[in-house]
Amino acid sequence: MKKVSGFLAVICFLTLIFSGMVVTVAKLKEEKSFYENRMLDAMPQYSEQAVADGTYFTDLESYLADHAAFRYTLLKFRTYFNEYIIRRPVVNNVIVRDDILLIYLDYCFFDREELKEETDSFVSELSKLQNLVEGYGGNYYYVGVPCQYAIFEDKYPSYLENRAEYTDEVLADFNAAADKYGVNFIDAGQCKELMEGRDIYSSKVDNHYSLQGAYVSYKYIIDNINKDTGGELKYPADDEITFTELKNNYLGSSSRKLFGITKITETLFTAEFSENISFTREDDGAAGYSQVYYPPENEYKDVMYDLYMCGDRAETVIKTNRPQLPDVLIYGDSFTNALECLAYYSFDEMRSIDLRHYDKMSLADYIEEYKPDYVICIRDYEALIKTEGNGSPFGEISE
Amino acid sequence: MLFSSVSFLLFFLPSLLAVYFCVPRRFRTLRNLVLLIFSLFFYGCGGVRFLLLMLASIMINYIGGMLASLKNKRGAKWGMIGAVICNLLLLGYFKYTGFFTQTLHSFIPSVEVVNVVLPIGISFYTFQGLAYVVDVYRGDTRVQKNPLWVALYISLFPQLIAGPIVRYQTIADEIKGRRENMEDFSAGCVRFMIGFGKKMLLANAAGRLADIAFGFPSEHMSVSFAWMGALAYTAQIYFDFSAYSDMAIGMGRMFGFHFLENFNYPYISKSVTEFWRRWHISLSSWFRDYVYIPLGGNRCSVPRHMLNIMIVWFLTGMWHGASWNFIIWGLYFGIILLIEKYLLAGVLDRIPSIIRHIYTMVLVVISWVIFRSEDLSAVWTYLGAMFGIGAEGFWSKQTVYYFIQFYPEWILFFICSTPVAMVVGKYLTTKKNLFSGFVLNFVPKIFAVAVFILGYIELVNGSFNPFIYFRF
Repeated sequence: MKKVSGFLAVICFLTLIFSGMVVTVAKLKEEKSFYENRMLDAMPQYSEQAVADGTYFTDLESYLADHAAFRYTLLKFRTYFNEYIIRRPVVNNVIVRDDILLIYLDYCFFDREELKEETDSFVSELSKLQNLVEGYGGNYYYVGVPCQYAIFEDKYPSYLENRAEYTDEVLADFNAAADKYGVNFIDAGQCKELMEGRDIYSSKVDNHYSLQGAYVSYKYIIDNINKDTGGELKYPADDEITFTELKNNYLGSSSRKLFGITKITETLFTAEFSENISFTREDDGAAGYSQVYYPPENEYKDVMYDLYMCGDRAETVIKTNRPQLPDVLIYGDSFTNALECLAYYSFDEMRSIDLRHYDKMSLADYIEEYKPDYVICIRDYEALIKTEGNGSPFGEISE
Repeated sequence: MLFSSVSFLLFFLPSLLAVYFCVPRRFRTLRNLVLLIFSLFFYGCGGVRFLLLMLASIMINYIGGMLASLKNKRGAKWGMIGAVICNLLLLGYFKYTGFFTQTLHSFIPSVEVVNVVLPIGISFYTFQGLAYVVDVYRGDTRVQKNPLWVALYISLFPQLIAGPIVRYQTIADEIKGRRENMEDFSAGCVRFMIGFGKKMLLANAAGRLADIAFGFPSEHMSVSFAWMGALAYTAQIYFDFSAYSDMAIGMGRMFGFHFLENFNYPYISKSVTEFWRRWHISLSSWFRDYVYIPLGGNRCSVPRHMLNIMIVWFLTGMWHGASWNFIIWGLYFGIILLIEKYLLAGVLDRIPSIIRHIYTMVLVVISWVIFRSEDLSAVWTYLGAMFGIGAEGFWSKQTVYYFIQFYPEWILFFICSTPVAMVVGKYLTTKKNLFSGFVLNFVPKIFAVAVFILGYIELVNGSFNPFIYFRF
């Protein structure tokens, strides 16, 4: 029995390592890992220097690890094992609850005074941008939208971070600084409809709001702008917009991190206005299709948040050819995408830039060039005072 | 190259096995050459310039060994001393120059700090080389006249960079006359697979926890969280290092070598003295045979004996790293061992074993905090937090989370630190029936294959894969 068991152990061991080698070599070398949403490591370049200092083999190991045999299948198995067998509270940086997938947040420690100073300094920069816009007669608004963790703070287990304290503090500081510098700040988290209807308006598998959530937020923003300017910006009333549910499964950022292995499923919606508004669209200077929704080819494929506006783009220009309406520039992170699908309703020309990708000029220069009537920045609570990307209106643009 | 890497597991090891076992057994020299070439390649992957340094070390020890075997006693002595000095100079330069210049710089700012990159495994192969030359000089082993076999002894890849520290006499006969066989190969595979699983599933998880705790803002650390981090590091260092030893011993057996055990369930010890008989056995016995006994051991006056122990533990600390932490860590153990020897002798034996065990583990856990912390101020801050000084309360949500999140690992840390499997095995051995025979023969192998597969899943899952003992 000892000999037989020993022989079988050897066979198993050798089979595993030799088949691992063969499969790794033979495996088609993919460039991108869809579920991890990242580029896989490329084969390192040989150089005498890299071999001499050992970096060549370090890089080779990273490359092989990214392309190792059965990697994808095993990662899925590991996710399943952790989620359903061991039932860890956090799997692949996602907090798995019975009815929602939440983003794992690092424990947050902050110094109240430092945060106040940081917020003050950030808002002070915004006031310069606002002065620039108001200098030619435009209107500037900085909008904070609650992301999933802020909307579902109470869904976090007590032993995990939900950043509630930080969120309250930064919003209070932001409001105070906005008052001090006269910056027009709209906090969409104050929108009762949005917060009370969170099961419809916020995603359960992603950090973003749903299209309906974007719609409610948009109405709130426009109402506030109109109240401030006395203007009459219009948005589609509830009976002038129809939401249509897609049949595709929505793969949000959290469900994607779990390789789609989750019992919590969700769908996405598109919207249609009762008034037909034709428009032209340009992306990064090139003419594109006149559409704001990009559904998958068929209903069996997963749909992602890039359904809206085709995801994050450096620059998009939508012209509705209604010169009686004002122009708008919307900039910000991915929270702008769903909102932009609706926002062109209110404007003649809607420009949208994402400073994480746009690198032709600074935001300030862009505004100087196009002088839009309205400049609206949309940022979620997590990015509210972040100075990189869309938080750097005067700086060199890079991500 | 790490044992727990794709390049090693799926490329280096299969290639070596294929080439090695394609050579018929009767061509022993050729098989040894294959092993040597692969071992040099293995080390060269960490940087060719370090390979040149190791070759220099091999040369020194080969010549040192030849001189130490001279019939002329005076010549042999000087040959041995020369080799020892050269070895220590190499180790001293590459490992301690930065530390000494940094220390001098803090007293004399005009002294420039020199940073020297530490070659992987230099502490291990230098000690092996030293042991070889001294053993030849003492007549404990025969000199190896073929430089290739000295090179093979020093560079043999399983134990090259993280031990165990193998004595030449342990494998001298096996270099020329070993007989690889299925029984050894099978036992080696099983040992390797268990070591690999231990590293990937336990050591790395413990490492993640320890890194989080030791990187946590000290002003926000609760007492329970500080202890959790210290326990996690206690688990990490054991599972990490013993896993490496398992893999080294296992691979040695695949190729017909029988290395001595390096660990014997150290965390079940009931005194610190016992702990050091069970922990890193190859290093403890090296210091015993090449430093402690030559200094006079315990066959001398009490003050001299105490001095000998403190010297050995000062050097043990220094061997582990060029920093004050390690020196204090070594002296800490020296003092405890002296206390156990001279003050607690007889007292400990009368205390209930559970208390002795707790006493030992508390002291060991504290020692790992000294070992793990970045610098001395971090040591005091962390130890302070563990005992409520500067800590943010006793309990915290972080403690709860990391216990819940890693609950399977915590259970396994406990089980795998104890010889449960061995006890069960012994029990089954007494039951001489078919079932116990089946369990004894098949379960360990099935378990080994399972943890190997799970370990491979962890390997492809992440890049968190450092071996602690590579820095020594």
